[in-house]
Amino acid sequence: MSELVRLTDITKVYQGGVTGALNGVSLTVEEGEFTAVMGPSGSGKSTLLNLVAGLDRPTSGSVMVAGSDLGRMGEAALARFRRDHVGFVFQFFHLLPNLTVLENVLIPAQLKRRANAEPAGRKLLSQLGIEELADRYPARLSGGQQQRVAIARALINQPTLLLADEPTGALDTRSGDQVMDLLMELHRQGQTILLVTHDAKLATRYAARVISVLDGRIVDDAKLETAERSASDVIRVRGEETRR
Amino acid sequence: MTAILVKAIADLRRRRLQAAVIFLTVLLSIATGTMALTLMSQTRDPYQTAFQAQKGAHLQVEFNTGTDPKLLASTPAIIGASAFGGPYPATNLQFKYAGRTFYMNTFGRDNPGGDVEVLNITSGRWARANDEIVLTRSFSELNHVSIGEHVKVTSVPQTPTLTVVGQVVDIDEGSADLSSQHAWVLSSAIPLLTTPDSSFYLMDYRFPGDPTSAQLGGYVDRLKASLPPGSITASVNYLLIRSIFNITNQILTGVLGAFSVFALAATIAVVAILVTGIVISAYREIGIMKAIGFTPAEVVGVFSLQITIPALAACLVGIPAGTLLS
Repeated sequence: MSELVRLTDITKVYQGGVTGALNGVSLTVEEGEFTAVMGPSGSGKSTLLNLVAGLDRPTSGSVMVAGSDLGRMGEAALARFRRDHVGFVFQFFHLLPNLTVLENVLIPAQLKRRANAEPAGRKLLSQLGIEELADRYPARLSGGQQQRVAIARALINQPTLLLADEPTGALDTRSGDQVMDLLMELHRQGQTILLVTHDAKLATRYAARVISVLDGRIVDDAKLETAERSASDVIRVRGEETRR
Repeated sequence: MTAILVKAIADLRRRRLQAAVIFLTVLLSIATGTMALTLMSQTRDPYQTAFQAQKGAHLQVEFNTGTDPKLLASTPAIIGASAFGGPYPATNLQFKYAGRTFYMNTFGRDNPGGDVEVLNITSGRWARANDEIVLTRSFSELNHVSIGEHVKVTSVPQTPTLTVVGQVVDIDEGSADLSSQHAWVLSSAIPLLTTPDSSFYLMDYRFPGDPTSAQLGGYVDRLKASLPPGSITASVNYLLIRSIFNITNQILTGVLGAFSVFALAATIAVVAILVTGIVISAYREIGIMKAIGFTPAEVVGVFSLQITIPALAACLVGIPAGTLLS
């Protein structure tokens, strides 16, 4: 497996912030990995994800994704990078409310000027079990349905990297499990996934690798179901770090 | 369709009120602006246009009744006029119509055409008998005088009655409610309608090009020098008449122009407020758009199209409508 993401000594201090949201974080993500970044609220995990997506810039350090140094890119280049390489799934779905389900799914493909993307979009909706919702508007969908649409939108350009920020955070348990099963299936098909969650059980149940973040630092980086670590170890470490 | 267009049209579908406000505001502004510009271009120099069409006189000179008409006929050569009309016998006519008394310089003229001061007949016909009179359209409309009606002349003891047979437009006259008017009868009718102290002759002169006020003044001086003293009783040149016309025109176009500027400024303000509202309400959406790959320029493009599409539609309707209304 080749390296897809490399963060080197990343610091991120927001304007007005005394301490950094991230403090000297370095990590790599290999192609095909299902990695979970786990940590309590305010630990810096979403900041880390935003940096990998090029939605934010580090105060210091470098972010390399798919061979591109995001720090050297302008806003327009970063937008093109996202549409070409990154699929984003948000906690609150963030579908465009004025577009239908199919239009939401197709818009990244249209931005990439892909001709004839509609069959691919409909196929994705079908694979996600929501093909009959193609002409509906997001406001008329349940949370689980909206998150499936968001996943279809994230996948339409066959991204190198799928980023998921608390994708089950706004869903009930059943819908959440379905969404995670979908991500797991995508991972089995070779999709690289970087998942952010505060839910240790969720992280350890699905991800092959769990990175624990606390106060802007990586406190643990465990590959599960290997000789080295088990899921219970990670949960224990997380619990200990949180209590400090 | 590109993503920008898809998004912009989808937003317009959902933001019909804003789109309608932009459409209506731009429509009113464009229609008013087009109307003003069209009127301004069409009325930039309406007097000059009519002056050329009706072969208006650059100089009109009134001579006392004792001046020899044959001598007057030689005056165009004295001052180098390229065309002339007259000498027309004239009188200051007083007549009554519908209980009201009117005073009007009345000229003896046998036809409305000629090389200078063509009169456009807008209704009826030219006089064919001594008891017929032609009035200006403006006077007729203001005083509700119709073709076939009669006026009673009170400036001569015989008090003859004249039948109104025609209405004309005269290049030298303004609106009847603002300026004095003229009337026309056959030349042979003038002796029957005048007293010795109220008659005179009129000569109309045209010159090559557009003579200046100084040149026209020089022509009058030359006429005075070549005719017996006191022959000339009055003179008027086209520059004076044109300036009177242009004052009205300038007021009209000035008001229209100012109104258009205000309308445009109001439109810009309304559209700016709407755009600000749209952008503020779509603040979160802008973040989503950037996250899924819209470049900053594409985001701007989406919002610009939401303004441009209804504005263009308003232009497509407003420009022809403004032109038609003008």
